[in-house]
Amino acid sequence: MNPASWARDQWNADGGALWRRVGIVCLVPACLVVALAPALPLPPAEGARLMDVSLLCILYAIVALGLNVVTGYTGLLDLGIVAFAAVGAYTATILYDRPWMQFPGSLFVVLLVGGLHASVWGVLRGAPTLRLIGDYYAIVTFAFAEIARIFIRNEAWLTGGGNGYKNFPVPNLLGGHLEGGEYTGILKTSGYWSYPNGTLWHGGTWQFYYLCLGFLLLAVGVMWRLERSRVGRAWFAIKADETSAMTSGIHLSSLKMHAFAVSAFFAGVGGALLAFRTSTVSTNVFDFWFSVVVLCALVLGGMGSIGGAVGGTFIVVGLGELLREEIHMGGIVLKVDDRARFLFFGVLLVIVMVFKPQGLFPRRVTTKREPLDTTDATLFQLGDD
Amino acid sequence: MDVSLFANQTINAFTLGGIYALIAVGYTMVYGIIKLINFAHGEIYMMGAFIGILLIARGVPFVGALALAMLLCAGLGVAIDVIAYRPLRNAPRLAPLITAIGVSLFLQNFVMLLWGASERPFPDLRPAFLVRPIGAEALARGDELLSGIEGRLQSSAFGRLKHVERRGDELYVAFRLGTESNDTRSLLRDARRDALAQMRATEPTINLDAEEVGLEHWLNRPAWSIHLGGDRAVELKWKVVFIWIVAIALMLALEAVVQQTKMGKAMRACALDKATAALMGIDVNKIIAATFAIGSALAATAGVLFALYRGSGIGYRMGFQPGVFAFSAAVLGGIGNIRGAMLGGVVLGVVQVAANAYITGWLGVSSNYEFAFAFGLLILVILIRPTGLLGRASAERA
Repeated sequence: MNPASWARDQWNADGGALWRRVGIVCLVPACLVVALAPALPLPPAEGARLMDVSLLCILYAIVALGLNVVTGYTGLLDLGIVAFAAVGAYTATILYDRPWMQFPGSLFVVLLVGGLHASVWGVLRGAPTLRLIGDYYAIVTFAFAEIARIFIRNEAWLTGGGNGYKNFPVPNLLGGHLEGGEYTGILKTSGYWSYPNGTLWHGGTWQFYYLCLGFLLLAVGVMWRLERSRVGRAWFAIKADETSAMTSGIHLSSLKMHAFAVSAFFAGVGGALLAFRTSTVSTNVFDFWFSVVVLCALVLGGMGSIGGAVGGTFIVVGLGELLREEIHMGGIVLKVDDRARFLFFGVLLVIVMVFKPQGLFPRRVTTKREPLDTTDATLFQLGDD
Repeated sequence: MDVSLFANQTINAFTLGGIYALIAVGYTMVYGIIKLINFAHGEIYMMGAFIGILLIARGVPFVGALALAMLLCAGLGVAIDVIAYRPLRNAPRLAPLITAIGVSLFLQNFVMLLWGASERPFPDLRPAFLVRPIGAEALARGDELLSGIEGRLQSSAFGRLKHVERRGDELYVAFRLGTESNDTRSLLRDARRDALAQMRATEPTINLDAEEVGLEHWLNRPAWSIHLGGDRAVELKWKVVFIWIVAIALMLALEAVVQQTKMGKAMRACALDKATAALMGIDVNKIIAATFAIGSALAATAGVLFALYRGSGIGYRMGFQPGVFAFSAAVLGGIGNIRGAMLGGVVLGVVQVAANAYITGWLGVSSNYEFAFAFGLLILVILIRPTGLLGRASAERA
């Protein structure tokens, strides 16, 4: 027998009860830390770092919730969520830079417009691909994202090109600018989640933090209602079996279009907030690995589950950041070589997937009105075609 | 239209196309059997290139380095399958995709840690030399000459005598210099000078002739070239011809294996229906491992050939773009279809080069859009003909 399979079976021998206990024990403190990150009594450097990592996780989680709509609910693999995050980010920041956009509350207007613009592209991309399923759809999403990235990099007159779009105004919440701080510290190391050097840093303010946390809670609330609504149930039905869904009176193309629009909207708003966090938008952040990180977070967390999308993001993004840190344990300094972070990350992805292929927080059937538990492995077994 | 530009770009397009085709075959075979987009495949291509150039830099002959890279990467492919994919055969379809991404990240960063983040050039190919002392005296003194050369060779890492032959009154000695130093020719010069000095001590009129022989000697030479006046010229290098020959030969061999052998039949059976194939007594896991081995060996070949062709830019991130293009090629040709992947690879190579050299210019946009055209073509093909150029109309996954 394959040693990896054997180890997995040993670990899961108690029917996963251990997993659940570990999950519950970790969940409460994690929620508390995220809710109180700006207020925790920590030394300034560590406090700022914790808050920033938490903020990053929150923003990625919004994007992951968006991805969850298409990939988790409707069952279409999307490898190009970054396109919508980038559209949202560039739209919002370019608009926010315009002189006629300087009025109280304009931040919310540009976020909305950024999300809607992403939504439009979601529909435009989705419309011709309605009849595609499976990996063909995935390739179209990927190719679209690459074309979008190439466009952004080359049209410097609009987007700033390869240098990114910078120097737009500081986020403004209903009058009164947020204070931006000169950013100094550990975050300056380069990496996939990289940071611009010496730029103003708005992610460090508690106002912005709670604004983003509010958006995440709003997104979770919307998703919660959505997945129990008629539309949400129809999405699950499409994922389970398109033909049966169609014969049950579900209008496939219209509901898929709904999913594309909603998904792109969330990704767009999340991307825009990410841009305001660092006061810069660049294709160095919004590249293929952005899609990969968000998808990994979703699959690791558990597709089609809100908890999976959010929890998975906090683990993947949080861990990616944690691996940058030096950990002091009674004289022993644990430090992963900065360049080796992704090596560990890759190993971790493999291990978690081998042990928990359903994801860490898989969806459970909660209401009887749902057609089917769509995370059931049998639906996606190989050879089901 | 500039004829020389067109001719050079055509050569370029078909070379790139052949390399894409070699990678695409691995994607399409794996996808055909286990329906997995093997994200790590581009990394195997990168590993192949790295193993190839490191061996060549150590003085291993080109063909030997190519064969070793193929072998090692085949092993790597099988190892990846066993560790990262096999435990997930019955898991949700996206789970192995995530482990594939994990493996890809691991390999990239492993290479970066091991061999550095900077891009490397292709090492100097060290040709074998044929030394030809002329005249009867040389024949008489042949042994002395040989020991002189051998002494020189022993001081260099992989140098060795390849061939000694007496023909009439001439002594032919073929040897290969292997050394860490980049300047192979200076070593040869020293060896010749020593040998000459020894012989001239008794007979100053002896000539010693040395010429480069073997594959390495040919690879950098033009096979055919034509000057069109000014700085316009068309040049077809032997290495390009070599790449074409290797690519075509491997494709033909693969076709033969898949169509003619028992293992090929088993592969096709697994691609159709794994459960039934298992009932017919086929060891499905073994067949999948063999698929990974073959695909990885071809990807490694593509890596070494690309390194030879480009001569630079061999870095830990080199696998991503060709990997993506090769997968696109596989989809373009009809995924699961081996001939389709070959055709798709060539088509993508041609489109990429055409977009770079012509189309972007005609449209007045930056030539950085070359990749956008390839992706645009991909989207168009998927939308208009989702089964790909050569895919069967009845393909299950439309």
